Amino acid sequence: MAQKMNNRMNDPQLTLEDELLLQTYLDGELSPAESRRFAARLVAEPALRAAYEQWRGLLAEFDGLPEPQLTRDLSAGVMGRLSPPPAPVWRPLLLAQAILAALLALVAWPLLAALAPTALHWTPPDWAVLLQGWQTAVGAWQLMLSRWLAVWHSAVEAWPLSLSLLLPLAALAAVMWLIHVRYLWRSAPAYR
Amino acid sequence: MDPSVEQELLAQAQRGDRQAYGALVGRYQQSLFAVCYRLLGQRQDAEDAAQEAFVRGFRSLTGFDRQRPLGPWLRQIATNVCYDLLRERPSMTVPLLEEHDGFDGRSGGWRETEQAQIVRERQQQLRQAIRALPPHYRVVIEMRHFQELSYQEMVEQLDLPLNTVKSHLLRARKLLLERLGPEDE
Repeated sequence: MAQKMNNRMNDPQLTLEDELLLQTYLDGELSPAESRRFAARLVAEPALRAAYEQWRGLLAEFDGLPEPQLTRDLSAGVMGRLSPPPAPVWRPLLLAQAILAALLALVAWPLLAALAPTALHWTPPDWAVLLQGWQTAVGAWQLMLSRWLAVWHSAVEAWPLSLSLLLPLAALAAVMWLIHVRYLWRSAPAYR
Repeated sequence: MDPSVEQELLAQAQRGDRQAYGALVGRYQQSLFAVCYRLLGQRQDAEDAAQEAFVRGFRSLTGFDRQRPLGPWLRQIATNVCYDLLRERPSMTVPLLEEHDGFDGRSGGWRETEQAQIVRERQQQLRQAIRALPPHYRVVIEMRHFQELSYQEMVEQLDLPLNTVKSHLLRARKLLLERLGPEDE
């Protein structure tokens, strides 16, 4: 029987190219024009037609194969293994935000340094005076405002240092954002 | 299941609702099991692999585009899970005996006609021939014949060149023809 099978297999001697063409034809993957040309060859070439019949028989057998049936519910087992889904899409964003926050703190450092000496000499408004009259309160707030303005003035003096950090910070933020966008773009088929 | 209901369940599952995902598991467990059983050939292995596929699916669900159909995506995950298993454990490729197959109880018993018995035996031969294929051939047969993927879809899922996919498919089919022999014998 094995010999007979081998003889049958070897009957249609086709080139590899023709075998691939036959397969593609049977799978319906040829263009309409290619398909018509191949159909004409099937009529004209008995060896090709014999191979075609053999292959078509095999493909038809797949269609008749019954689907294996599940005999128990898998839901409970799956549910028991589910943990809250991570949010991989947001992870790069969080990382970018953390880095940005750190760098912003770095940039803000000169500002804080400029603020510190002023803050040490700052006294809170006298709440009792505020209660005594608007005039006193407004005066106190004016005093505080003038001190804040002094702080901002110091900060402006420190700007060159801030700017020197701001440019690399902006560049890094842009890179992080691009990484994030790219991750979003390719995250859909993350099934492995 | 109504498509709008499925979409709603999917949206809820993407927000982390496990109960909603459980309903989707109920809907797709049969088809994922069938994929895994055809590839692995053992009921227990197939059930475990299908469960693993569902778990992986849940983990990746936040990135899933709801415009795509869910079933093929889940079956793709199941195929990958099984393919990984087959490559890690080559012993799983050993053809199975009939009693392990899971189909014998559905044969129709003493009422079965001779013709039906011939058909059933032939189907059993085909299943065993498929299971005897090397994993990379078995996967292309599964994708093409049972999941009905196009060449292009196979190329994308397997991340292989088109010619390689065609070549694997051709070789797999030729091996099946050699092992099965003509239907009328």
